[in-house]
Amino acid sequence: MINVSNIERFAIKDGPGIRTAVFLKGCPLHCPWCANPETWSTEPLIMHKESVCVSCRECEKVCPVHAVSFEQGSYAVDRTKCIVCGTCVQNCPAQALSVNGTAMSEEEILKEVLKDIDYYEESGGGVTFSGGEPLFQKDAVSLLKAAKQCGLHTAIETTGMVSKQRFREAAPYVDLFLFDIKHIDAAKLKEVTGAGFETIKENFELICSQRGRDVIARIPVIPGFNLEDLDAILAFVRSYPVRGVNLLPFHNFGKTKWHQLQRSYRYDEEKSLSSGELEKYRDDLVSIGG
Amino acid sequence: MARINIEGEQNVSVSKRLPCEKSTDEQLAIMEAYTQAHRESEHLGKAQRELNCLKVLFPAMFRSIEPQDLIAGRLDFLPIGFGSVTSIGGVGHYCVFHELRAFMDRLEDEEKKKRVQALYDYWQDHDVKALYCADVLNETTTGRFIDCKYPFMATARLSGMMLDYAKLVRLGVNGLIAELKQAEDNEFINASLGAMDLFKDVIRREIELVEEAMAEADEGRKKELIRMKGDLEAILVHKPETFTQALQLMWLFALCAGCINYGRLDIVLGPYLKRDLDRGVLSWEKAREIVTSLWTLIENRRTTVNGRIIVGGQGREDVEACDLFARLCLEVAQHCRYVEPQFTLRFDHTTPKDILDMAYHCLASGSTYPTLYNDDVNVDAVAWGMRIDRKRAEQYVPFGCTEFVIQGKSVGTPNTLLNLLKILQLALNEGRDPMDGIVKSGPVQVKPLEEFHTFEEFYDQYKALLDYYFDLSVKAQKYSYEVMNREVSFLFTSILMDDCIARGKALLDGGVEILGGTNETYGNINTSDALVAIKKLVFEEKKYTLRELNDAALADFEGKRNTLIRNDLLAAPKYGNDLEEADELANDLYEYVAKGIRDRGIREGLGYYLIVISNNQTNTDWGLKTDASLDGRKKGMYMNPANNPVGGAAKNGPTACMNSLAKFDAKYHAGSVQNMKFTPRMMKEDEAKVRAMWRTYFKKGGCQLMVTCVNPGELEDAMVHPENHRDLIVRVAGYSAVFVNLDRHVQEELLSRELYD
Repeated sequence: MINVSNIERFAIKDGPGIRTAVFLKGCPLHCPWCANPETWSTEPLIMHKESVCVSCRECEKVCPVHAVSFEQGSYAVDRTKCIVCGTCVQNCPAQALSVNGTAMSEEEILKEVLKDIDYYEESGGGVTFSGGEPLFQKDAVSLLKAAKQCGLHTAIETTGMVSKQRFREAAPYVDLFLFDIKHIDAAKLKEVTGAGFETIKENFELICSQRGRDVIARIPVIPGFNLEDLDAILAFVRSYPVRGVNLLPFHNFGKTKWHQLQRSYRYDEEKSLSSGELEKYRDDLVSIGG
Repeated sequence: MARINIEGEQNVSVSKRLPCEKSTDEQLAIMEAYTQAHRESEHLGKAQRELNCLKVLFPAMFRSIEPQDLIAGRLDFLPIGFGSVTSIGGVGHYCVFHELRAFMDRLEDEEKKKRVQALYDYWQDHDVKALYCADVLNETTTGRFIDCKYPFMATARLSGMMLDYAKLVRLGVNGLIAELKQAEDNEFINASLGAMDLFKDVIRREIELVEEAMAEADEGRKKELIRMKGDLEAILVHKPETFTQALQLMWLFALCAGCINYGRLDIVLGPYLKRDLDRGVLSWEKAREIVTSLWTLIENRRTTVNGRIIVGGQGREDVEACDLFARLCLEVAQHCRYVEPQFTLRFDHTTPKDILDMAYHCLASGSTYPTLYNDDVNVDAVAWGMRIDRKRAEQYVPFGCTEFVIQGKSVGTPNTLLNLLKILQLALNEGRDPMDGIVKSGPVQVKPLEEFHTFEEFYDQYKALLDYYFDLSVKAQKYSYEVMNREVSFLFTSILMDDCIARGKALLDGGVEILGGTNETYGNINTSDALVAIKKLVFEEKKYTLRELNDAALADFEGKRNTLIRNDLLAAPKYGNDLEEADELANDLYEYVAKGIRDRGIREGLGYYLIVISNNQTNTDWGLKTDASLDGRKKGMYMNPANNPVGGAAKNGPTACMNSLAKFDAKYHAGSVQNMKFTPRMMKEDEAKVRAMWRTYFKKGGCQLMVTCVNPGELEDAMVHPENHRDLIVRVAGYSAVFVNLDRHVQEELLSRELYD
């Protein structure tokens, strides 16, 4: 079984053509700007929408393990106690609660993905596995293989922070690598995201050396983290024979998800970066947006 | 005669009309003269009587030429007169009672008020629709259109007549007269000849009106008016020779026939356009100005849900010429942001790419036109549904909100309307409508909920009620033709419909080649979603009893427990998400209803009787009078639009929604509309992907698509600041409207639909 956070159909920013994006749970990184913080853990999670909650405290009453409390009137869940049984979700009249994360079999995932196969064929699209880190769960390789056997064009949106062995195993079943290069300063990368640059670099080099045409390097451009170092990062990726480079301007759409997990978001006040600010970097290789 | 409620709105009407040009006294005099002609002709045949009445209206009711008109012909109508459709006046000899009352209320002179009252009294017993209603309506099952208390509404009207204008321009006025003269002499043929003479009077009157317009015209305008006058003089005696003559002839005839849908004008006008362009007597720019003028004339008729002009598709002889006209119309539609005409593009796999490009860019730029009809699906579907050969089926045309007819050959007016959701509530409440407690199940025995032990038992109960309402529908549809036929001949319409002249019979008297009809069904998806929820929660998971669910709905889901029940109902699988369990039941219900109606039509001897899933704003109006339902819908909330998902229910993106939409086999219906909203950003930046999506949908059997292109938040803002959004045109369903003119409930329904970005 594979833990899935979400399956998004008609995904048009995650590779060529019309695609279905499968967001798999689990990530070795913890980037503070992350748009999908619910995917960090492979385990299911209770999410709570403050905006629709009516503070009736029904969830607090029904929770069998007393994980919910309303301190100072606002919802809180002790995730060390929560067993994600769903009782609170069932009893929430305002539909403020939900569980993120479903364990699905390979067949179930592919059945959903194949529903749009006609659209992929018409548009040159396919399936994109995203996350989290799509290769984080060990069954991901088998899932990719099965997708290839269905005749699908496969892409992964990877952090590259995967063991060399798993990366090598997965590679034959991946048609397109959307490979995140968040930074090239190993210390800074480690400090902010928890990622190890050496592993990422190794995987990046490996795949570029063999199949550079199947690699698009993606740089999430984050003010205060790498915006200032963009020239150096670009110089780094340009030194490899990649098909293209996408600059992904920071956006704060992930903000509500952080709040739904009762986590504070460092970029609450940070405005989304407009693509115009990155225009100067655009050229034959580099484009703005996914 | 039973006194029924004869007042009230009789059709969906969003656009405000231009006031009549005649003075109040003149209007009163004309209505009196019409009434007198009607009264005095009682002893005559219906055709002659109609002609005598028409002579009062024509040419008197034609109004002056406006300074921008490049084609002559504007027609006023009064609360009393003759017509085909309720959008302009009424049906046959009509009186629009609430408008006549309003007219009376505007008068100050008591004597005149009395004169109006006398007219009112006379027409209570003579208005064709009132005669029909008196026989058909009752207190429980059947209401008038539009009276939403009933599960079923019935009306008499002759909507959507699309005449054989190609024949008109081919023969010309005198050619038609000659054909009539060759026909065997009878009352209908004689009156038709009289109608053609009257038509000539109309042309002569238009010549006078053009001359009057010259008095105040500058030199440039005078040149135009001279051309218009020349065209009118030419068509009075000759077949049309030029593009403008052909258009002029077609336009005046449509006005006289009371037709508000025009059909495949590329077939009628394309060859003239091409010839004039080739000969150099007409420039492309001039042709565009003239078609723009046609657009304006149609807009000014303000018929809200009509005004169909259709181009493209199969079954056109001179494809090159037709496509030329199609391109011209696309250019006009791009810059004329009107709610009408409802400009429609039929296409198939052979349609030239530049035409598809133009259509896409027109929509992406915010026009709600063209609406797209897929001939690769529709032609065969129509052939099967209507039981006609493919060649005839190629001439299908959608009118109004989408109902198909065969141009020049069929009647397909939607005179019957069913609320499937209200009928479901009868099944849940032992035949009683929870909105008013009235039993509306007729002779059908409806069991208490405890007696349903399987989902199938409950579904069968519902089907028994549906069957009863299908029976009512087909009878009411047929009877509408009987009543209309008893009273009128629809002379102008009959003249241009196969095979009235050859058979020597009026349209509904055995004249029309295919006497079809349509039934508008509403609440289809709320109903199937409710059935899915019942099946799952009561009979599969056994989480609730049917009684518990129904009690929650009767309480409008108020209270803690009922709220949780509603959450479960809302969480059940919903149509529009490409989910097997929801889509299969939706399709099963669709086919049950469609076949039930179609089979009854065949049995009753109609050419065809098919459902349409079109919806104007009746889904909203009828929803207001429909109790809370087991799909989780609250009491009084709008119902789903057409066969589209309930607002907010389609959560799996546009491809999932399109997959659900494409599951209904088009051959069982006579038109079904799919509305989708996309953002301008997506339409522009992701053009290739959006177009690939549409192509796939059409390949998968999608029959139709209509697009509104709006920015996120735009509709919300227009509700708060209407003054800033006067130009915002949206597709409601089978028609477009200025958003800020719509009823608030309708606005909310539009807002609830998914916007894809």
